[in-house]
Amino acid sequence: MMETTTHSPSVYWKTCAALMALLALTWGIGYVNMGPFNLVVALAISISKALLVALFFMHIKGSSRLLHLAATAGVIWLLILFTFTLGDYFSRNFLQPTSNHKVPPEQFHGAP
Amino acid sequence: MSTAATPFVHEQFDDIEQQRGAAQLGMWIFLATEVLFFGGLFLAYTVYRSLYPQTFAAASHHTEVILGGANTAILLFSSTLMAFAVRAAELRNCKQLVRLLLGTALLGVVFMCVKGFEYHKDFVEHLVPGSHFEWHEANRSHAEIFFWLYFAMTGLHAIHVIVGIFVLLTLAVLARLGKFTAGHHTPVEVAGLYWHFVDIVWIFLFPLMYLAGHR
Repeated sequence: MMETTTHSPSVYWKTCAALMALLALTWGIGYVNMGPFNLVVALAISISKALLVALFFMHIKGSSRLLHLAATAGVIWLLILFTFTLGDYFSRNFLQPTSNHKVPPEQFHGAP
Repeated sequence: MSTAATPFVHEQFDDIEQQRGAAQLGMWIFLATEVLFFGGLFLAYTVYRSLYPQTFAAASHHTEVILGGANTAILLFSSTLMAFAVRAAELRNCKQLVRLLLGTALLGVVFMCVKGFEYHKDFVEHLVPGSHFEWHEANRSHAEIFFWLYFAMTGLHAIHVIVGIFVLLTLAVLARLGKFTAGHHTPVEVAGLYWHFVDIVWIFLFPLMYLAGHR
């Protein structure tokens, strides 16, 4: 009896059907105006699709903890990259310089 | 003498399982670096879209949503075939493995043909950033940033698809020679991981590029 690490065909077909259904859903809501929620829903669907591919096609489900760690590591570093960079961009206007601290224009431009 | 010695096991490994585990771990670590490689571009997209949401939505309307959506379906289906290919290799079904690898590669080629057709259309419509870029709506330079990111991200993805197609074709030839159906199919498995990753990147590119804002 040969031991298999892959899933049964029905698992792959179900995953494929779910992915196609989610694609249709993304496409459909793309034509509905939900304001900022368009992006939120689209990303939620994309994350679900990515999880389906990773769990069943890439066999994260049923693989060793070491592989789980390696797979999660990439995502965690990506989140660090996003958190720190966006934290910088979105907080740039938090500290408005007051008039007392403003550098005079002539000094700013290096004029004597 | 080790009892596990087979012609497929390299000398630094105890047995085929350890070798397989090392190959898988190596591929997953490579994919983590790929996540950050693409991640930089996704980050740039996030920053500029948050700065210029209206222009990004307007620019997104100039992409071909039908072709982009069809391409998503093509890649999702190719990933399904790839999953079956790994299974065929494990079950030592040589004929089916070759067919599935060729099928996956063929869908990759179809994807590239559609993408090439889209690029041609973008070029003719003067949507390629640079001196020939034409924009008749507001905020030309912001729209140019969208198309810069569109070409950089889909282009980098396309390069990955092309590499994947060559890997799959090479594997198909080796599979035809019976290399993966005699108890050692790790290369098919590891190439499958790469192909699925490329699919995942497109899963995120589709809504961000083609459906920004709403249509």
